[in-house]
Amino acid sequence: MTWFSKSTTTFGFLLLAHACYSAYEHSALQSHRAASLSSLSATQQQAASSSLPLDISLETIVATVIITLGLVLNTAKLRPIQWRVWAGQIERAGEEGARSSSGEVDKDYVGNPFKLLESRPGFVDIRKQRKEFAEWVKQQ
Amino acid sequence: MPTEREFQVAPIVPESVMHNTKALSNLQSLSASIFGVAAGILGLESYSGFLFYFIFTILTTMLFYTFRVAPTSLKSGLGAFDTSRYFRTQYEFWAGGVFGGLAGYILTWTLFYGLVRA
Amino acid sequence: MTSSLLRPPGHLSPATALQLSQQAPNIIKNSPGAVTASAFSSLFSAPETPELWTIYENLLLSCLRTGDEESAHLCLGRLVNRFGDDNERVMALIGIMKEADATDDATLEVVLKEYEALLQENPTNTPIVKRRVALLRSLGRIPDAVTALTGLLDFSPTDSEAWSELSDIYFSQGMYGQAIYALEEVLVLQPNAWNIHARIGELLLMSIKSGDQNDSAKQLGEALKRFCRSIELCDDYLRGYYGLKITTTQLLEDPPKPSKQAESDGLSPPNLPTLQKLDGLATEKLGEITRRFTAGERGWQGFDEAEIVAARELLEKSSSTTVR
Repeated sequence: MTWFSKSTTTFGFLLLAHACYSAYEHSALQSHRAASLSSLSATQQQAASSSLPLDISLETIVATVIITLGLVLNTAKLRPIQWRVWAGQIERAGEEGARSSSGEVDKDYVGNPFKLLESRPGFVDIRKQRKEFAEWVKQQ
Repeated sequence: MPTEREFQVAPIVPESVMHNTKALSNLQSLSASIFGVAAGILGLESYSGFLFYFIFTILTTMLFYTFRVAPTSLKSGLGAFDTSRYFRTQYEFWAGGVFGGLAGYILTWTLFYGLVRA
Repeated sequence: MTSSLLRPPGHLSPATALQLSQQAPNIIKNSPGAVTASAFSSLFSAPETPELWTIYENLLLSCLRTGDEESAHLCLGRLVNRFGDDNERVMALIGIMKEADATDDATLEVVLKEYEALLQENPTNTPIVKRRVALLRSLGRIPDAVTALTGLLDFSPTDSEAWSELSDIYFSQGMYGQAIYALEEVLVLQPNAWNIHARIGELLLMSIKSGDQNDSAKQLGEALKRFCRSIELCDDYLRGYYGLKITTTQLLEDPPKPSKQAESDGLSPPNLPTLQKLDGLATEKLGEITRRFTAGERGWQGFDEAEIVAARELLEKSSSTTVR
């Protein structure tokens, strides 16, 4: 999913850059022509320099919409703010719920923050854990 | 407005609120400067430029709602355009970004207007 | 996989711990061993992240558990290099290492003496106090452990982990009243900890079962409230619904006589229709959770396998009794 949003954004930026360059060339051309044809009437000059060709305008707007779409798709997954919904998601889905669209678990995902009150890492009884592990290995 | 007692019964997760607000405001400030570039290229002036900004900001918020909020909040039984699953107030979601991105918009708008029409 | 290294490994299954410690040599090889203090060379080396040191700490514990002392020593060496051996947390890790290396009780006594010597210098060294309590408990000297722990709580009464440990020690001695009191202290500090609410409910149920029948109606009523609160704080909380189901079953089978005193406390169990409704809700939710977990539905796979099995057994038992 993430490659899709990234490529959409990149494509949009390319379009926008192209539109920008085209508009610049257009205005440069207009002023050049205006300078060389200075004998022409003033009204014609003004009309020519202010209006952008339709295709460039369209390209700009399409590029903007595409970039916006890509940026929106690139945003992080939202998290529920009500406590019970948020906690329920942790209990129900575990790591699955914190997976971003690219399939990686969010870096600041901690699971149930109150799990520490039950596992209590500061009071870990390492010898008991070792014994239990040795027994588990024997069973395997 | 929920009372203090209701907050005690059904608390809000501050980390999630911050995460969501950050995601939305990042998107809006970034997209606002892109709109500025587009407005500069189009050569918009005065009111039409601001109108362009408002239209596109609303479009961004709508897209954000469709892709990020709607799929899960509709499934959990909330009505359409109800963002209470992820944001504390409706105002924060729909109008919060309009003024946040305006400065960035004007900056890039004037810059690209000047670049293209030099 | 590395995400589980960011959390302390105490609750992991032996299989996961083994998997983690088997990865240890690789992780150690691929992570920077020391972070230089000079600004110039730090431009070229990998950036130092707080996660790195958490990973080392948790890797160290996993390796010790699986008996991979070599990797454990490497991890500890890097932590000592970075933080120095007078850092309180590193001191506790060194202590854990010595405890794990010890083969007999005499060596453990020596480690205990070292802890006490350290505490002579600085009595408020919290990690070491906690190690001392854990070691005393592991040696079976429960009264000493309780004394040490209450000493710790005297100077830092906001340590919810210590309160929780105290509750567990009392529980292991069958002193339910004190165990519940200690957990209530945890709730004062962390009012939204849904698992602690459920834990108090479980303790109340166990204290009723253990036989002191003085006011079981009141305790059942309170257990019911605790489980309800844990569910209110957490949708689809399997443990909460499980406890709720057991409590309502007990209350429906043997409805306690309403006593005047309990009613005035507001702790009497609710009336019959409410109980039946709660019972129905718990049955329905447990059924939904077990069904969805077994069907392998996405977003429902975070439950513990053993808890699901227990819930299914409870449901089968209750449905067979209603049929009879």
